[in-house]
Amino acid sequence: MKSPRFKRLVLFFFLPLFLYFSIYTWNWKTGHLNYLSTLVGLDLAGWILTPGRWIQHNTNSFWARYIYLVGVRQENEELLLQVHELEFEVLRVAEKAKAADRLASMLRFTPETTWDRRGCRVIGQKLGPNAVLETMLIDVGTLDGVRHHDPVISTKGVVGQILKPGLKFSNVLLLTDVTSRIPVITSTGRIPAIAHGQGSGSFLEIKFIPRNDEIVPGEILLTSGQGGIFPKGIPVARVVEVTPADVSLFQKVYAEPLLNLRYYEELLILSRRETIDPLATNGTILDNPEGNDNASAKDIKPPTPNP
Amino acid sequence: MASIWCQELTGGLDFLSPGLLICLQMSQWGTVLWMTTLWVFIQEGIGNFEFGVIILFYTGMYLAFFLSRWLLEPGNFLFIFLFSLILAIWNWIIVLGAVSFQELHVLLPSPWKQIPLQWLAYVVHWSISLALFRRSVKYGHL
Repeated sequence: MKSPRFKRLVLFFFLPLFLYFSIYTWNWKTGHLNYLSTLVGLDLAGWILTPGRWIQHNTNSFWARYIYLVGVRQENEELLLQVHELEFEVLRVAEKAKAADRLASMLRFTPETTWDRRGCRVIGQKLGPNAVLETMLIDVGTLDGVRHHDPVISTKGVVGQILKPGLKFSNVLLLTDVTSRIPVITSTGRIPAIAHGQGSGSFLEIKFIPRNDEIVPGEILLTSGQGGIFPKGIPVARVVEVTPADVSLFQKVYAEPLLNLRYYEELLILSRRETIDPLATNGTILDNPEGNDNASAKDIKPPTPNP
Repeated sequence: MASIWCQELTGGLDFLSPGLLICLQMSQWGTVLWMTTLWVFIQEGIGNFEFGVIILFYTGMYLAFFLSRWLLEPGNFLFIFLFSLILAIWNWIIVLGAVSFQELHVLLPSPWKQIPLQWLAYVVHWSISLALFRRSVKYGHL
């Protein structure tokens, strides 16, 4: 015969504990509750934050367009000059790209996956005590075709990847997060390495660069396309510090991201196409998904603002 | 809505729990039940842990609330002040435990900074919300 104290202990302590761990383990295996909480939490928070962000965006835009016009004329002239230089550069690079396409088709390279791109807005950053990773909330989700691990970039380079896609909002894991690792290659030496995040405000650690390979500060690191997440050739970071190895097989290399991740309002999401376009070149990002106008990773334009 | 905005603007402090505590103080059990369910899904959804961490946090919070009620009157400021400190420490312990249990290699802010900030957030948010709630009841809005 069990004492009432024992029964009470079982009823109020062991039974809830057993139930809790059962639910926890079941969810760990199936992920159903994670999915449900993502749909509820992310989307609810997104809908709450969106109107405020819309007001903020329009106020900033109104201020910048109609009130704060200091130096606009000078900036306009500088930008026009820059546009002429870039037009010339685009022509030169386009010719090279065409030549590369011809060579690739002559050598019968297998065409790689093509990518569609979609603009989105950042509407939130770190939301709540459980948001321990470096993440951002953006205003597109699975209803817009966004999937887990889709690459997120800006006009300057890699931002991160989709961590949790909700229905209309998604969480983006930034490349500076300590859990983020991106396969990269150096722009000149083509040395493969891994860019490892070290937390907000810190440089990225570039791992596995052999001690005899030459890498210099200022060199740009590009995505290598080997991880299966990012297309090849998108800028990731710039090398800032190289320490030659003394006993290790690898050098100690640090790089800074090409963009300040916390101050971006609009981003681009790349989505892998299910079917391979035989006409497309390797790792192509399509400017116009419906048409045949292919654009290289360097030709990425800022997203058109949503109405 | 204001709590979600506060969580966003403060970069990771918890502003949802004081709402539950006010309902507990007022013994509105039905509201406590549906709000807890909703809050669990919101906090888990916007967080980065596997589902279940917030359930543990709220269970500890409710247990601490019922135990503290024997010592102090839940309506007064001293209770809010002391209970907020317990809650801020509990919050930190839960996050630390979850990070270690789920083997997430992340950089957590220093407890000497995070706990006082969370404590302040709880005290301010709880006091203001409670005052507004009492005012609404007084003028017949609730």
